[in-house]
Amino acid sequence: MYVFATLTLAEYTLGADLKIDRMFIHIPLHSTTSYPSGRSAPETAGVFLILSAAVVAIDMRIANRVYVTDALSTLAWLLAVLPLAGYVYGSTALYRGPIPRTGIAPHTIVGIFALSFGLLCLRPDRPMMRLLTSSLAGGFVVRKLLLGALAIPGIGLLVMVGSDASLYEQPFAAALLAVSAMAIALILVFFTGRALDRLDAVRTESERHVAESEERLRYLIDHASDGIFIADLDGRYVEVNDAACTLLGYSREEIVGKTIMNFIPPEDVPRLDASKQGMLQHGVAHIDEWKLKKADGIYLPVEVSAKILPDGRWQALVRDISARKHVDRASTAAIEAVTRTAEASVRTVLRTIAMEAQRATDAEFVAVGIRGDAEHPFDPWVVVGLPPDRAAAIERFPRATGLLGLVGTQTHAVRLADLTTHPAFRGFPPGHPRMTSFLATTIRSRGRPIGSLFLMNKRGAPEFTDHDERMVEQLAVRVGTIIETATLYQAEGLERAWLKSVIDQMPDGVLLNDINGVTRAENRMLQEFASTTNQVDPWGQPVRYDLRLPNDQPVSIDDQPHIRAIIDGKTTPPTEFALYHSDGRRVPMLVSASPVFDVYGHRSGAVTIYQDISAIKELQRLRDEWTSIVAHDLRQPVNVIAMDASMLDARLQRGQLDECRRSAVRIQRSATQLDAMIHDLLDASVIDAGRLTLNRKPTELIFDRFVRSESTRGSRVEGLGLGLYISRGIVEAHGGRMWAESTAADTTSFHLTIPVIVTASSDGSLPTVTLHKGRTA
Amino acid sequence: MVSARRRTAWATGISTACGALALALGVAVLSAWWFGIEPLVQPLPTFPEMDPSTAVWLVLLGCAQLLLRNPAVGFSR
Repeated sequence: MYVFATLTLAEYTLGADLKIDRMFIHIPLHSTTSYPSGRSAPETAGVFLILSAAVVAIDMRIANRVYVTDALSTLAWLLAVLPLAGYVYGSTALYRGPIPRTGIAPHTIVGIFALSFGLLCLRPDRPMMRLLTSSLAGGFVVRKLLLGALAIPGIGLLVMVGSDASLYEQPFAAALLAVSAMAIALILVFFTGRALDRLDAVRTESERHVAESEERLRYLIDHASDGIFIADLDGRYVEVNDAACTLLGYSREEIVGKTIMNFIPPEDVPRLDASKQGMLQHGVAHIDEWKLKKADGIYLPVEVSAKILPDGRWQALVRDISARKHVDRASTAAIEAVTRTAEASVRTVLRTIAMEAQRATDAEFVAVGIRGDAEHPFDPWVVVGLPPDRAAAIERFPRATGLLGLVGTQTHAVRLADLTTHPAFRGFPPGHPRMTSFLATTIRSRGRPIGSLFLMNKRGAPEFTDHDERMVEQLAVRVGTIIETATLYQAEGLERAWLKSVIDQMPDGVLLNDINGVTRAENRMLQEFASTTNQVDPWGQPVRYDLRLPNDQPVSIDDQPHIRAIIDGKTTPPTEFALYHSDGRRVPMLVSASPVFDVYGHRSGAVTIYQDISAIKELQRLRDEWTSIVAHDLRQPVNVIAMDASMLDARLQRGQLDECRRSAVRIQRSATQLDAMIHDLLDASVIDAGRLTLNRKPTELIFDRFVRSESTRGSRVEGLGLGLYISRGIVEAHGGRMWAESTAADTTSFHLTIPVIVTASSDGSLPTVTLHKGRTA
Repeated sequence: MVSARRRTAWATGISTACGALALALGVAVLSAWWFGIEPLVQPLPTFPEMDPSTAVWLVLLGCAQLLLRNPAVGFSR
């Protein structure tokens, strides 16, 4: 297209016909032009050459803010205005070219206007269109003047129409045109000036608002409680407020010009770099805790909220968190005191709080009191800084009256330079140390006062500071819950100890399991039975008790009473089992288990009771033995007596005196035997007082009463099975010991030891042997 | 101030309309030459006529303008 236009112009210039005009277009109409049919007029070719160049150079710039397309489009637009004026004012010279019967057609002008304006609109962000569409004063003036410039040709056309209609003479028309143009210019100047004046008024008002806003902002910055640091692009402080100076102890001039590197410890530099990178990448405020070096060389813990401002500067809001740090440390120490021991002592927690408060404020004396009853308003009452002997010398327990009572009624801390000057002060009790500066606050938990914290005599200063007061108030709020928790822990610990003591004292075994089968508690009686088994419960934990059925068969896991109670949630009735002791003894037990439910009714475990029934079993055995004795051993002599007595009369009548004598002998022997048995029974009952038989080895069992071997029962071997029992009773009564030992050869030997006292005689006779317990041999 | 997005929107619309107008004008005059519709070629007998070459230029420049609406399209970057 560009080449096409250039060649067309070359044809005119050189007078040649390159036939390019008829390459693509067949011309059916008759030609009215003097040049070859289809060829554009030279001025048309020139304008399109300019437009083609504007398209080709759409993104090229002549200067920094001047684009080729904008300049060429405007030029093409102006070149099209000339023939348009010719058409409007009837001047053929303006639209007819230098060659006869050539020129720019009116609709060609429309096309040129459309193309040139369209090209300008293609890039609306460029200076020309940006100015034209700007809402600022420049854009406003341009639009107004452009409107006026476009209106002038219209006025001129009207003047020309009037002149053509012979309404007035040519000089009048010229004068009218000049006056009209001047009027339009005046109107434009007036309205533009007024509009600019309004804009200026608005701008001035806005500037005033901005100035006021800046002044308010300056005031806020200067009076902010937090330090505000503003740094330039290089990180050097350019502005700081009063709070920042107070915070670090430097003057404004000393801080301005320095960087953050002058204030942070060297070990924090890598963290600072990482923080900067994070802010640069994400563009959000970064809040973190740092330490800044003060003028006195001490590092101050601060919380910094840093942000990059839109203009690239750095802004940091710095807050002193030393009070919060003290409170955090005190709270942590108090919490550790609560959780360190299973049975936390409230006194320990209070002492920890008092010591931390003393350390944070440098107070000489700190006291913490928890609200008690009417007799002891502060109970417990813990004092730090006062030696025990001086504390003991104070004759009176602290009372919630006077200044101490006043603190409990205040919503804020009470801070006094000299507490003795306060109207509520009632004097010190005898033995109380002298105190002046005073800081106290109420300790609250969930908004409810539970005690008070008192600090007296700040060291090195006449009174406590604002910082101390803030710290103490924060501490009082924070530790309230901790103290209540410690109180609950202590009460729970006491209850737990009491319950454990009760369970331990129970003669029965008690086992507590949680819902996962884990043993939570077991008393001493049951602990003696703990052993290693091969069984594993449903939760994968080893079973610690060797529980068997009465026939000594092992109990399956699912039938273990405590597991049934946990899984089924039902109480298992007392059932007889055999439980093996860790030393191998077999002890009959009645075992019952019940599920345990929490306060919400959810199953939380099971409690199992093991009742030792070996004594009952022994009684059963004794009863059986007694029945046997009565049925057999005692009846035998009685039967002999009865039979001989019944036959005695008949034998006397028959004169069988020898037989009678033998019967009498048998009666007497049976009576003697019966009498011996009764004596044995009486002796056994005396010896047996308080003694309980458990399962033991046969060589131990034979010393129990009524014990006879199976082979002697029903035989003619006389006796109640009380001989060895009585023998051991006699030996033990004399401080001795008696035992039996069996060998593989079915022989049993009996041993006894008796302590004696041997006294040598002075006359050379045998020494005297005296039993240790009273008898002489 | 007219926002950049709004200014871009209506400027693009005007540019499209102008490009389409030039394209339509060129096509119409070429058609008029082809089909012998004289009033479209020469509105009044005393006025110059629009030559076919001019109509072709209108068509080509109109197309170019429509294509250049996308800022990413250009002859030099």
